[in-house]
Amino acid sequence: MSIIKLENVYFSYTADKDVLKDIDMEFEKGKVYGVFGKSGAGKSTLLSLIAGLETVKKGQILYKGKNLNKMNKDDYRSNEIGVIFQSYNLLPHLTALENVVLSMDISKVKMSNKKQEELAIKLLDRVGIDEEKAKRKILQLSGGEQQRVSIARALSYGAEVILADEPTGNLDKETENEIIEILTSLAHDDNKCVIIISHSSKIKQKVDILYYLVNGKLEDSKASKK
Amino acid sequence: MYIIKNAYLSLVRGKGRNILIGIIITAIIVSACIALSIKDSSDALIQSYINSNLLEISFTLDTMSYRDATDEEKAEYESLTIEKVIEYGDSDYVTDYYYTMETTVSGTDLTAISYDLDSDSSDNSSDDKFGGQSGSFGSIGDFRLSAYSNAAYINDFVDGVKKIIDGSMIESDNTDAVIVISEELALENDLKVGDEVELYLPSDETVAYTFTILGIYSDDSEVESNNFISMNATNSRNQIYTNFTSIEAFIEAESNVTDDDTTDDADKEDFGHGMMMQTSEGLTAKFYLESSSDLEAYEAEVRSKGLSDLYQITTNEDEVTATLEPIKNLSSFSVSFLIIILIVGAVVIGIINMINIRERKYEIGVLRAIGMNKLKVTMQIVAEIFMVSLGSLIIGITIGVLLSQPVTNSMLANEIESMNSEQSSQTENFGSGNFERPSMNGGRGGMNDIGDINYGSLDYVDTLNVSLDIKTIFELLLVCITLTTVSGVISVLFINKYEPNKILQNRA
Repeated sequence: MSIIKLENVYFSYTADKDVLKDIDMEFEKGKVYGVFGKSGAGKSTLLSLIAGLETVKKGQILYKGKNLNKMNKDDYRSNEIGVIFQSYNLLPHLTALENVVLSMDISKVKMSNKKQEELAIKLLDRVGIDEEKAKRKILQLSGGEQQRVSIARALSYGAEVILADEPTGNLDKETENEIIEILTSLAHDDNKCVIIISHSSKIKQKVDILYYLVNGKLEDSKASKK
Repeated sequence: MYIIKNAYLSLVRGKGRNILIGIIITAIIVSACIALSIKDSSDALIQSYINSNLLEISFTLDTMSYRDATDEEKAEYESLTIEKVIEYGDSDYVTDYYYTMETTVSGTDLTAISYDLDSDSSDNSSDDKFGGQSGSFGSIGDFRLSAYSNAAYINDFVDGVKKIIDGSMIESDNTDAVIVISEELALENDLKVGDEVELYLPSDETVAYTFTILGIYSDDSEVESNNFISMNATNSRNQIYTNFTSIEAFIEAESNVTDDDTTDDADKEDFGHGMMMQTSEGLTAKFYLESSSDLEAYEAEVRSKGLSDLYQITTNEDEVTATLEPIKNLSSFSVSFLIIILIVGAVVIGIINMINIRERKYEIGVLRAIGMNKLKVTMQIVAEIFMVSLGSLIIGITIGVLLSQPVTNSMLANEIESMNSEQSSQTENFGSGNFERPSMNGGRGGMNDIGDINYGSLDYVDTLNVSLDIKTIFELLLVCITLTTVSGVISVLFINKYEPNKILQNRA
């Protein structure tokens, strides 16, 4: 059963040109999905639509059978899905730990400050950030470390869907492998639905289902199964 | 709770910017604190002056309204009588009241005191009409005969300008034909307590009564006259005090004389009103209310008791507070200053906040992208401004308290200097001589004070003790909340403008 379903989705930034056309997609829990395509194919726009950062012009996106347009987008973003941005989008004046705790605060997860911190340290540790680094300000961490913090933040409130936009785009090969391992384990071990938008051939090899976007349309209108 | 925590972290992160905002808000709070302290203290002082001096009110016939009144209104009009005054005085609002009656009389073999003390006394002959600076004038006699319902209201005796030096003052319940005269008049005419004097109506010498001198008073008032035509009756040495029984006899007789003089019926009617007004001018009544807030209710009461609309109700509120003119000006200036401060402050804070939010666009974008709603983002930014404002409020009040007294002293001194120099300048404009307006301090008026109007500059109140009370602190809190609200509104407008995806895409 799909957790996210796109039905006949169209989107355009301007009135005269559709960036996405007639998109039908389905995403299930426990699988890693890869959305590939050339630059300008509409990959990031697709992620924005699934993340609730943009609104479809035509068609609909269903989350657990509910039309996303009729849901509170802020609640959806803070509780149901975790987004890992290519440029991390962490708050630089906060520490890694504070960034993770902040997303817990914003979500509906209610626990004591102490428990929040314990969970955040555990999550950061899982993605390779030890307690000493967790207490550093974001700008005192490397790009790879920041991306790990970003993953920990996306996991902090128990979202069932993880969206990752070019998660390894700014990382070296060794770190890239580690990040891919973390993301795939989230689907396979934690039964999450992981959707990765990428150019990376390594990711292409690791995902369970591939989608190709060409000029805003799904190639063959079908997902290619590995 | 996390909003407050995040706001605090954000404050610490942007120390430099927040210190700058804090300094600006502190400057606004200090200015507002001084302005409010001055305003509240001034208002309190003015109010305490009004409260400590009972509100004195009197009824004055509006002659212009009387002239323009319809025949019907004139027919309904009733002049003020002693009976009416007593009826109006019998009110829960009135703490005390008194009335006086005055007329002028002439004396048989009684020489009046001239204004020029060096020259011989004037001839009291009634043929001397228009005859000189200090002569009789028409049917106005040389002596001013006054009666008070309560001698305690004769200001000259209260102030000590006049003192009984022989005999005694006339008691309220005395109905005998008795008078109290001045020391000078007694000396001039070789009179003493117990002697008898005949006084008569200037317009009819046959109306004459004999009075016994009950007391003699000394008079320290100035004898210089500033009147255009100096009449003996206006010289306070020629003032004779008596009781109502005696004065009413003269006034009643004078009404009859006036009536007899009229020949034409129409003239008689008009002159009848004239007589009535003359009588009413002779009767002056003052009522004292506990508080100016009772005035409206009291007016309604006396109107319902029959006081004609042609009578205006006048109070001494402005006169009582005349010496507070610089304080009033200071208070008025403070209010204007406060309004300007608030407007300028709100604009400055608004601009700083706009810049602040623009700088923090990325942070807002991230918070929005991870699901923080617009209201909470706004609350966080408002909480930051509120924390800065609160800190500034504490510092601002402390500095304001320290500065408000010296600033007030300096401003008040400048204000008094400016008013005094304006007064001197007006005097110079007239050249030599005394052309200053009479002081209204003390609230005396009416015919009985013609001779002793207090000329000269006012001694303005030159001390204002400013203090910060709970009310002022509450007002400052309001100022603070206003500034925070302005900031909040600007935050909301800006934050609603930004969509998280656009902010993050632009940055990427």
